[in-house]
Amino acid sequence: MSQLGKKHKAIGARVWRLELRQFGHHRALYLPAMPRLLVIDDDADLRAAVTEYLLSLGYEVHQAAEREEAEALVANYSYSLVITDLSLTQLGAEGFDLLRTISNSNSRPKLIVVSGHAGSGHRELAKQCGADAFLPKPTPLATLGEAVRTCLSPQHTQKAP
Amino acid sequence: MSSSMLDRILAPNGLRCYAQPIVHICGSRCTVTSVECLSRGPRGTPFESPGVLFDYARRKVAECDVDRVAVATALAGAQSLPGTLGISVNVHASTLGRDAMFVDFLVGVARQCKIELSRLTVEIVEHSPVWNATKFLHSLRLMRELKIRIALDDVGTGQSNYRMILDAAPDCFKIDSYLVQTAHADYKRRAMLASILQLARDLGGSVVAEGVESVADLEAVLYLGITLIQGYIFSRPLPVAALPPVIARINTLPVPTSPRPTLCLQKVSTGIHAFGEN
Repeated sequence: MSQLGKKHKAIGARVWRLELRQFGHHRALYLPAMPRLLVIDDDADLRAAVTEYLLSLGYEVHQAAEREEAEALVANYSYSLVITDLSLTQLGAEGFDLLRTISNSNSRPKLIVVSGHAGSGHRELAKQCGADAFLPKPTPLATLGEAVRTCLSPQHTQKAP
Repeated sequence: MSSSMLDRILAPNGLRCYAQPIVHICGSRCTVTSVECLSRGPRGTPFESPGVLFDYARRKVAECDVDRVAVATALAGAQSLPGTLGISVNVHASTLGRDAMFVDFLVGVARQCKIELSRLTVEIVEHSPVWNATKFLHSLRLMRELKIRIALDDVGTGQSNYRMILDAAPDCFKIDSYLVQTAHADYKRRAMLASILQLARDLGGSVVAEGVESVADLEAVLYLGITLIQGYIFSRPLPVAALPPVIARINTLPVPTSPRPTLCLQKVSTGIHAFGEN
């Protein structure tokens, strides 16, 4: 195993193992896997647009349209970051419970809330429920992309509890 | 308007059927005796994974609907398999406890697919401790009258506990891979395997070791007397159409006549012979 491979294994990072067979030598190149993100929104068009944009940035992206879908995914996959709409029609007042469930899940992903309810009350409550960032709707995709990069940056990760 | 994930799962071709062989090892001979049918969710989604698929179904309290679709998909796929093979399908205990017509549905689908009921094994899976015991036991009674075998899945973990063993009185105990994997190097796991095997024998049931992936674990479970094996060591779950050549290959595999003594024997305090670590 290469030094890079050992390092990634040591810190528990997910890696893609790329086998190389050249000139009779058998070598393995370890590349860091891109962070896996989850996009939760009941608006299919919006969800598709955000997913497509994040895929174009190289992230691995899963998507969910409803609470049970999101909970099943969070329980079974490890996510680096979750982007969720707070006003899912199927969520209602339970939207904040979903935030707590996500932020307390094993992988403890970063959490970006995107909501049409951008009042200070919602913003504060979302923060209390574990949100790392709050973006009002509509949010330009570039702004969302920047928020994702910020949340996933090592500095932000180190500051998190 | 887009359909929900549950709609996609329940739609025609929403689920796909994979199957994994269950192999009987007798002396030096391997024989595939049955296959376990396993569901895969919509292609290209994270719900392809059965763990996520059924976790979602349970959260939606839609086990009955998903189990029906899964069973119908499994039997439709399995009808092309040789008539000598047993067919196992997974069903939630809560489905048997809630869906009074599930057994009739199962019988109807089996007849439609021209599969004899005596070939069927219903593997009971359960993740919730709350279910209607009366309806559940009635469903089991009906299946037994129809010569459908009952297996208890994931024995040793979750809700597949002693109460379930008493209530379900399974014909087959399928030991969870958690107890099987690394058994060759862990006398505590081997003690539990031996205990479950003894319990199954006393209760008149057979035992399948699930999740056997290494030769060392295969040797360990064979040494203990478990001869029905399921796991990647023989085959991962495959689409049913890809299974016949794999089954033919397994049926010709050589097996050591006795487990290789790669590990020395020692006695543990319970008196159970077990492999040592050195």
